[in-house]
Amino acid sequence: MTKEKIIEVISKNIIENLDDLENETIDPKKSMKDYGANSLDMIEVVSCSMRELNIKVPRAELADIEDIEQLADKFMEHAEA
Amino acid sequence: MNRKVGIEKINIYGTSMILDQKKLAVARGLDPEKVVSDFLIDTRSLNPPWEDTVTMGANAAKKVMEGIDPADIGMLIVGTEGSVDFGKPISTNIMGALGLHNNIRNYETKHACYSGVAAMDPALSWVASGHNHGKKALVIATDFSREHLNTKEEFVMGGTAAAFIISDNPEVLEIEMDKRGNWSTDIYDTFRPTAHAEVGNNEVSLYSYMDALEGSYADYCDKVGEKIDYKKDFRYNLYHTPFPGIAFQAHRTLLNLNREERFKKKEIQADFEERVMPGLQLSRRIGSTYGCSNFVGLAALLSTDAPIDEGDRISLFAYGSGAIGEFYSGIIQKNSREIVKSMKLHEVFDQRRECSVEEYEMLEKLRNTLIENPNFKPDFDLFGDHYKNHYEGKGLLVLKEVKDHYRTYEWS
Repeated sequence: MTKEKIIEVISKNIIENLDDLENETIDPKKSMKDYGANSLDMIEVVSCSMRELNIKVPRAELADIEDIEQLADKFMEHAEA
Repeated sequence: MNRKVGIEKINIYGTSMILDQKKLAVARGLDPEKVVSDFLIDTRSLNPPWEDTVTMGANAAKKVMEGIDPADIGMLIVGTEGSVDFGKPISTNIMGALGLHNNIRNYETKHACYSGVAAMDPALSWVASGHNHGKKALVIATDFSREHLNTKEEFVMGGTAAAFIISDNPEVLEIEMDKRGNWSTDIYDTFRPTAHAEVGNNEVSLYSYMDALEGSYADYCDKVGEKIDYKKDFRYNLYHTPFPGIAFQAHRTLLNLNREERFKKKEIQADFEERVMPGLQLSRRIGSTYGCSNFVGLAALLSTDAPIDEGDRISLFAYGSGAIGEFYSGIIQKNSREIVKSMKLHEVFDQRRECSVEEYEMLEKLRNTLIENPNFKPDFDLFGDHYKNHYEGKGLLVLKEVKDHYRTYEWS
């Protein structure tokens, strides 16, 4: 699994779960909060992405993550493990 | 082991004062409609200075004990994360106030918001074991927020008490004793390191809640041993509600679990309105329900006119920061609704006094000074006629005085 693929899945789930992002290109250097996500939206994006990628990361490890790229890195660690 | 056990009777005490969340939102420069739709809280409970976790617990229990011989109670367990003493459990204060006899077992349980279910658990096992000599258990959960003025957490505060009887005559809800899933971990999400501080990280807590939800549900499924259709096998779903808005995310998480194709947001919203919202009708009026959550949800569900039938299975999820999750289920009985409706909970809630934002701010600052304060007498005139109108002659337990740390309570 490549990091690009992970970012693609996360980006797709951000667009699906947040309002008014249909024509937006998601910048991995940004945080989901920059796209208007509240805490519950972020949890849903993470849940959907983990399910789609078949990765299980203890969610508590995700609280300090600052942007989408860092989230992808975290997913990579668990994808390779 | 086959004896039926569960909740025979239940009451919720929602305090005597409230704050309108929309007015608080306006005072803090936020969009009031968004605050209410995000958190699903319309009003939050407020306590005058003469109420604490002891009075709330006793006031919830008093109505439950009506018609029950105190001699029939063999156990009193109180769950809280807001005790007024580190050694002496508040179950002793409540036992004294209610006039229970001396030959009972009493103690306090702690596990953040899981404390109420932690208190119910030994009562269930005690009755199920048959070693209860025909007695019932009185179980209470009681909790109240600390001061959080001008913080983003300010909108998810509250307080309430739930009291219920556990017996082998579970007329309100039979608990399915062999179907209870757990999931525990060691984490700092929200915690109370001192009697004043209620601290933590919201996001860690939300993530941990969802881990515990999925983990305990998976354990529940293992214990049931049969394939469960989450949408069809539970008539209603009750979730732990640090704020009622979290129930939507919890519901969405379990509905979509193990499904190839996810439900669309609209389908989830419709199912949430039908199967979850009826259980949120009291917590919307309370705010955070802490360890009382599942019981407030049960009482709320049975106080509505939402269709429900004898034999229906409902699911319950309890969560305690720190952390633990428990997913379990219960069976609705013939008279469940009638018994709960007879408590007229919404009518009692309607009588609460509304406080202005200024009164609320004054009150929260004052209550902060009362924690661990060795000497004080609450001012019963603080809210004009509130004591006279709401308490005097009504038989509610109030804190009369704290002297050299000794607390004196009396019935109003």
